[in-house]
Amino acid sequence: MSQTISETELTERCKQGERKAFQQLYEQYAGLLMAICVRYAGDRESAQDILHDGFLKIFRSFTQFSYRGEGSLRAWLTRIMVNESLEFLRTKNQLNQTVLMENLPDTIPDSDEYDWEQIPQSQLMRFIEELPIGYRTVFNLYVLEEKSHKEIAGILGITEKTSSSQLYRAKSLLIRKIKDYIKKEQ
Amino acid sequence: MKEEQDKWIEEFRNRMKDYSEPVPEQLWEQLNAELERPKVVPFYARWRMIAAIVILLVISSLTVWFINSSSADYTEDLSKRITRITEEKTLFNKEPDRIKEQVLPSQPSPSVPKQIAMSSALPGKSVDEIVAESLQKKETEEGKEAEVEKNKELHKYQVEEKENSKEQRHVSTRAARSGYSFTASSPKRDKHKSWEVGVSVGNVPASVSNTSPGYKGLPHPRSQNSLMMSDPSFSQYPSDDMEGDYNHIMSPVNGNSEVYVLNQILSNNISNAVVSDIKHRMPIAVGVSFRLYLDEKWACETGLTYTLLSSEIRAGGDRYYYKTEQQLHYVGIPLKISYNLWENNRFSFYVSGGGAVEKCVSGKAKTVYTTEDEENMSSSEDVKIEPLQWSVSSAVGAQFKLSKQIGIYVEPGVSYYFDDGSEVQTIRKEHPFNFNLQLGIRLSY
Repeated sequence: MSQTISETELTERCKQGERKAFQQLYEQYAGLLMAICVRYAGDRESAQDILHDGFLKIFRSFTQFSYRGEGSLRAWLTRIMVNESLEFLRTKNQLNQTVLMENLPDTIPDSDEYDWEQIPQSQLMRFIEELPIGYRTVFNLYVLEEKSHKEIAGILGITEKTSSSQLYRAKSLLIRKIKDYIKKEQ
Repeated sequence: MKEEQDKWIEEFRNRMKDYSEPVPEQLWEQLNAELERPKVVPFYARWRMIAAIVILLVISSLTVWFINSSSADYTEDLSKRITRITEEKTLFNKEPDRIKEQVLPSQPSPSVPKQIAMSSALPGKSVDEIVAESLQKKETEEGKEAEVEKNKELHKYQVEEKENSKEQRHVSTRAARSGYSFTASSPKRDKHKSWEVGVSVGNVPASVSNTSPGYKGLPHPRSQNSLMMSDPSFSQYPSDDMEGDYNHIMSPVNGNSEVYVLNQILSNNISNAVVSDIKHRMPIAVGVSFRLYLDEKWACETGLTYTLLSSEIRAGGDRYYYKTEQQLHYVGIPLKISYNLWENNRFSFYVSGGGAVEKCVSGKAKTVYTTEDEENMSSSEDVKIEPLQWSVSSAVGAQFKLSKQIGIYVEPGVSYYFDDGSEVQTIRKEHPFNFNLQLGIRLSY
C-alpha cells in the first residue's frame, strides 16, 4: 500500500475488483475528487454524500474503464464525479432555478496581475462555494473542467449565451472578492 | 481585454487544478463495507438472512394455528357452559328443591364463579374487606340499610363456605389474576365495582371447585361475569338469602338498571340456545420510528407507536342479547434490530425483531343491551390498565423512501405479548401470539 504502483497496474488490479487496489485508488484521488464535489455542491456535507455515491459508482463500474495513457484514469474519475455532482444538483432541482440578476458592476474591475500564490487555494475554494449556484456551475464547467460554452449549454440545458453571461458574472464576482481579499491582507 | 480575461481564467485554472480538499473521515471504511453488498453475499450473511426468514415463517404459521384452533374451541366451550347454566336455571324455576340436590353435588363445570370468589381473597385483601367496600358503595348509592344487613348475612355464609373448601385453593392462575384485578380495580370503575358484589356474593354457593380453565375465555370481565355469575345466583342460593339478593338485583330500583336489563336478557334466553361471540380485531398501530444504521445491512431502531385494540363481544340469544365494544389505546416505545434484505433508491425490504413496552393511555367499553330486538339501553365505562404491556416481536417490512432520510413503511408482523397482569381481556391475552400491522414514518441515519 505504501508503495505506489503505476497507474496501469493500479487500473489492472482495480479491474480485478481487488479491495486493496480500490483502497489505494481511493487514497490517491479522494482529496482531488472531494474538491470537485465541494466546488459543485457548495457545501461539504452534500459534497461528502456525492463523493460517497460517486466512489461506489467508480468501484462498481470500474470494469468499464479502459486505460488510454497517462492522465486518462484521473480524467475518467473526474468525469464520474462531475456527473454525480450535476446529478445531485439536478435532483435537488437547483439547476433550473432562475438565476437572479444581482446587482453587479457592469464593468469588470481591472484584472491586474496579482500574485496567485499569495491567495490560498482553500480561500479561492470558499469564493467558488459562495457563488450563486448558476454561476458556480457554469464557472466550474468552463474554467475547471475546460468545457466550451456549447458543451455547457448541452449539459445544463441552457443557451450558449446564458452560459457565457453567467461565466462573465461569476468571474466579475470572483475578481472582486479576490481584490477585497488582497486589500484586507495588506 | 479578451486575452486578459482568458489569461485570468488560465491562471485560476492552474492555481486550482491540483487542489485537494480534506477527505471526510472513515469514508473508506464505509465504502469498503458497502462494497460487500451486491457482488457476493458472504455465506454467513446469507445464513443469517435465511434464519431470519425461517423464524418469521415459523412464528407466522404458529400464530395462524393458534388463532384458528383456540378461538374456535373457545367459542364452543363457552356457549356450552352458558347453555348448561341456563338449563339449570330452568330446572330450578320449576323445582327449586330438587335442583339443590341435583346440581350441587353433580355439577362440576360452572364452578368458575367459586374460583373467582376465592381468588378475590388471595392477593391480600380479605373477603371482608372487599364486601365491606362494596357494601359501603351500596349504601351511598341506594341507602338501603335493610339490604345491607342481608348482604352481610350472605357474606357470612360465603366465608364459611370458603373455609370449608380450603383444600380447593389450587386456583388456576388465570382465575387468580382476574381475582386480583377485581380487588385492585380502581375506584373509577364504579359500575364495575358495584357489580362485583353480585359476582362475589352470587357464586359462593356453587359447590365444587376444580381447576378447569373455565375462566380462560372471559372477554370482558364485567359483561361476562354478569352473564355467568348472576345465573347461579338465581338457582343455587339457600332460599332466604337468595331471595334478598335476587330481589336486589332484579328490582328496577334504578329504573332500567344495567343489571335489570341484563337479567331480562338472561331470563328470556332460558329456553334458547345462548351463544357468545368474541371478536378481537387485528391491532393496528401507527408509529414514528428512528433508525440508526449500524452498517449497510443492520440497523437499530426505536420510536413511538400508537396502537388501537378493539374487541367486540355479543352474548345472548337471537332477540335478547348484549354487545360490548371495547377500545383500548396504547402508546408504546419499541426497540428493534432490523436487517435489510434488499433495497434500491426507492424501496427497501427488511426483517426486524425486538421488543416493546406499551402503556394503555385510555380505554372505553361500551355495552348495548338489546331486548326483544330493541336496543334497550347502553352504558359505557372507562377501562384503565395500570401495568405496562411488554412484548417481543418480529416483522417484515417494506419502506418507500421519500428522501434519503425519510420514508414511509408498512410492517406486518407477529408479536408475543407477555401477560400484563390486568384483568382486561384483549387479543393479547387471548392470543399472546398475535398478528399486527404497523404503518408509519421513519427517519433513518
